[in-house]
Amino acid sequence: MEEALWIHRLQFGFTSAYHYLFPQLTMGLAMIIFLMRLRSGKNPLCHAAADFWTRIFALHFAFGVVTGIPLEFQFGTNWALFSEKTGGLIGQLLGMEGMFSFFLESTFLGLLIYGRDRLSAVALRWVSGLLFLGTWLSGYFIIVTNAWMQHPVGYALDANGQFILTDLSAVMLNPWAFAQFAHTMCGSMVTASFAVAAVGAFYQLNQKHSPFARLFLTWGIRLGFLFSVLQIVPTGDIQGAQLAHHQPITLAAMEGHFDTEEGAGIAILGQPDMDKLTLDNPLVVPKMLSFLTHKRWNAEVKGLKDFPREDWPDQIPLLYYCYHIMVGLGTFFLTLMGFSLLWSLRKKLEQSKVILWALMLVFPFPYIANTAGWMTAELGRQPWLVYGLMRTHDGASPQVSSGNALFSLLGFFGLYTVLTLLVVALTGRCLVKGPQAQEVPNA
Amino acid sequence: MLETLWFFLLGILFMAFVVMDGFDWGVGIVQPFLCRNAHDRQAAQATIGPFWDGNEVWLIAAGGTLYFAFPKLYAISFSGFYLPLMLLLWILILRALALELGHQWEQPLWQRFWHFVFASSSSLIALVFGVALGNLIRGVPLDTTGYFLLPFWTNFSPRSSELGVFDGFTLVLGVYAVLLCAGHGLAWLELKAEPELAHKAGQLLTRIWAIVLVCDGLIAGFTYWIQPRFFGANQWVSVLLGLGALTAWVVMRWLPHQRFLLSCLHLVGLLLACFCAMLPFGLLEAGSASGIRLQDLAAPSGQLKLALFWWVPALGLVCGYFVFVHKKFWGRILSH
Repeated sequence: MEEALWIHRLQFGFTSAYHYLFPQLTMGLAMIIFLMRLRSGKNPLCHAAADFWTRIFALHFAFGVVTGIPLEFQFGTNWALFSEKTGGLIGQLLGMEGMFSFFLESTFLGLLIYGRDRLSAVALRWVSGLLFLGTWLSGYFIIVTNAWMQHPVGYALDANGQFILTDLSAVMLNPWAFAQFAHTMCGSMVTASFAVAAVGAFYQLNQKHSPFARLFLTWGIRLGFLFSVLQIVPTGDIQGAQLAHHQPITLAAMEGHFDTEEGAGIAILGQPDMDKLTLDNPLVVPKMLSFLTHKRWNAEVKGLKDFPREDWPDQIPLLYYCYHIMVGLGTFFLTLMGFSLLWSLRKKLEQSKVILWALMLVFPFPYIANTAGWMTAELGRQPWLVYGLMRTHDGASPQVSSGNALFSLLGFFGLYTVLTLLVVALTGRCLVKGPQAQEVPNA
Repeated sequence: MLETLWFFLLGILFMAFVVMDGFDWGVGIVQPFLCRNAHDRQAAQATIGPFWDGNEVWLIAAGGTLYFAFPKLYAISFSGFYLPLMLLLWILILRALALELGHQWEQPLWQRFWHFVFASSSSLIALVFGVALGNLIRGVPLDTTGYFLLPFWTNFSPRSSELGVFDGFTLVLGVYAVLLCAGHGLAWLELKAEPELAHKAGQLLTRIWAIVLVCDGLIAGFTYWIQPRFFGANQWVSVLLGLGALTAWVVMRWLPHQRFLLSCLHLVGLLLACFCAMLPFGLLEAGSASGIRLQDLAAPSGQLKLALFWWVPALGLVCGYFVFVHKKFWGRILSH
């Protein structure tokens, strides 16, 4: 049972982290493409640019769809007891996602790919607007589901331990969900705008598709800067405050904060030592943790040692590193985009090889930051499936053996390796082919 | 009462899924027999290009609805069919890749490979869904906790006590499903493909329908032998089946759109018969005339009532999308 539980966790973690490599780009691109369509009246180049990014969008969207279907199945296949207890509640949220957003997305994406020549410029604007709506709506339903698991509201527990939905609007308007949605979508915009900037830098350095190179760089840098800021303040900050209030154990584990202190410092670097329960080689900014979480320099921040051990997250070092990677990268993104914006405003960007190279090479890092962020959220919720109410080991499918689960996990490893090769090769082809200037929609 | 209503609403989603996605599996199944060259294969695939993804969403919607309306049924059946569902997922992934990636590169070998993946995955999906339906009709071996886990296969004797997901009965239903989808796909191609291909599809369809007609009778008998609930408690179910077969006969000389419509009705009739025969149970137990009752599988009634408020308008919206897209791609779809 213990062994099977590990494999169930690994499989869900792996398949959902892999899946999210695609939506984080497509949700962001959906907004960028829609904005480009809106601008195309003033700047005709934006039409061709939107068409180019729609090709990349469609490719990655397809991969997002195929890797997303296993997630809906796995609630039932791997987490049967969790589904049985919570299905009437979170099943509705996932059902809404299917009915309200998946149909919308698939219908209009099909129209866009196969019926491009049947659409006028105005219709293109509408269709890309609906796609944007569909993808972001989809994101909201998923976040509401996750937010309920992090911070359950609007429910009652019956005698059999079944969660009953008592207040749908409380679930849909869960305050946890707002901050989480804003933070996640900003993260998605960072991935997408960094990709746009990277392609622009790639064309610029290659001296190819020059008008598009400049367009992509401008759009990518401006949006990238804006969302790198929003990612930290206010969205990240609000989440930190919520965490300090509702999940103080998680906060302590993320920060590697073992002893309760007044005026607690924040660890920038260091390695959690789980035998001695200390942080090795710490680099600490004094009093900062107290200030960030409670807005008072001398506030008391409880350490891990003051919480019951069975409520600690079970992967504290990994959680600590994921959180620090996310924060570290977020700070780096802001710095890089700040400099790029400055150079771009001084019209010196095209001569600055260093910044162009950096922009071109940096695009994988938002993926890492987003993945690390989700791992922080999910590892931080442990040892609970529904925070404070249902433990992870009470949720797995009782009769699926570790052997069966390992078989499917290995299958996913193999299949997703093939998927990776395909998506890299095909995206490469799209990029080499580049935007086609003559793509102008029907009048 | 409310549970039964939701059981039929779930039924609507499953039927929509089989009727809609059924024709695009069918296109895949018949592609190797009907199409002699790359151009024809592409032309056949072009007829489902704008639709297949939306069609597959009916499965997601049905899964989501099953999840919240009957959480226990979702939990029991999805974990009980663990391995076959994982295989189904992988085949669904490969098929989606074939449809979306095949046309991305004009390289003959690349296209040849994805056409092959498309044809084989489409056939396997139809087979697996037929097998799944077979398992639900035959029933599963429930243990004291109300859960079960079926081995992939044991032996293929249809009345063996050691059941498997794949056994004599379910495999026969799987093959029958492939045949039905092949017919459905041909009816679609006759309606939507380039004139020459459509003509060929129409000729093949008439022959397939003749076989289907014979199979309808044989399968009905086999099903009754395995699961006497069929044609037992719900006599009128057999009438529906008979009507389905009769329409199949009439269809042979009708116009393409009438033939396609009747192919849809035939599938709906068969599935409706299955849904009716299950009542009042949601999951049948193998080798007995009973199972787990719907009310023991359903979510509390307050939740079921609440869900009606958003679910029904949502379904209306979805129908709107489908009407819109089918109107936008009205008539034959020619490949470039």
